[in-house]
Amino acid sequence: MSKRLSGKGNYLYYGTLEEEVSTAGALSGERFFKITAKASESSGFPPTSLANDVVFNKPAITIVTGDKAKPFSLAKVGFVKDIPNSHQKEKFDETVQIDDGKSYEEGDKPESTGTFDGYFIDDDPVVKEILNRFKKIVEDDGAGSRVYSGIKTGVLHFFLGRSETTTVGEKEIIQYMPVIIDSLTLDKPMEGKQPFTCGYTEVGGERPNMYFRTITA
Amino acid sequence: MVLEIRAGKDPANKHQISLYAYGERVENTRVLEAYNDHGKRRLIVEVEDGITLNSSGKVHSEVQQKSGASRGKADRSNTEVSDD
Repeated sequence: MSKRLSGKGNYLYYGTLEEEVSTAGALSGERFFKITAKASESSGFPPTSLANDVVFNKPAITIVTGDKAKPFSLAKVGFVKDIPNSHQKEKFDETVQIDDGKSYEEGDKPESTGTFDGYFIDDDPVVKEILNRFKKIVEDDGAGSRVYSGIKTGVLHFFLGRSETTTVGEKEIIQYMPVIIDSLTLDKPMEGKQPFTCGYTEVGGERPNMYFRTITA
Repeated sequence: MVLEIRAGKDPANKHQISLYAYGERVENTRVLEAYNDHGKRRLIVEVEDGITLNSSGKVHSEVQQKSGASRGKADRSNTEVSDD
């Protein structure tokens, strides 16, 4: 029976890529992997997958020479509450005089954008990662160590739970969101918590997807 | 003693999950609930005939024998098994 999905019980996770695995053999762990290379022949990865796709390693995938993958470790994002998420496509006018109305050709390159809305939390690694895309970060431990980090760029990998479950037989839905952060609002109100809202845009080349996974024993 | 959880031919079907002890299939169990949290599996099973499981190790038993029940009588109890 179909389920109406709730926001409750579904979370945003930050994915950290670990060391690349390239040795032929079974990948270890029931977790997401990022495919970094596919062997030209007899790849262990799904035939319809491409390099940069993510794949969940259950049943365990046996990679061959030429296959490479990086495992993800996921951690719940601490600062976020609401996550607006929108998707658009271009449309190209092809209207001619004999049409009954405006006529369009649909583009095949969607653009997905939104925001991560939350509160400014001190010492949160994801908050710092996002801040560092707009501000130099200085870490001063008060004991003599002072490290200045220049402004960073690059894709951040997020996984958004749409229907999280661990029950065998049910389907889990996870949205893989490789994004760049392109705006940050850091208001300081006179009272109340400081909001932390950043705008993101998905990077198509990193193969964002909606992952439907049946939970198995 | 450590119980082993094995999926059946259809790994999404909890009724095909079997428990094994010392390499042998445990016959008198029925899976009521099954969960897999990224490799941490947990079952709630119904055990027939009220066998007492050793609670040291990874099995948590709530088996209770009815007073006066004989060994041959069907005696159902629920037991939780995990392989963390």
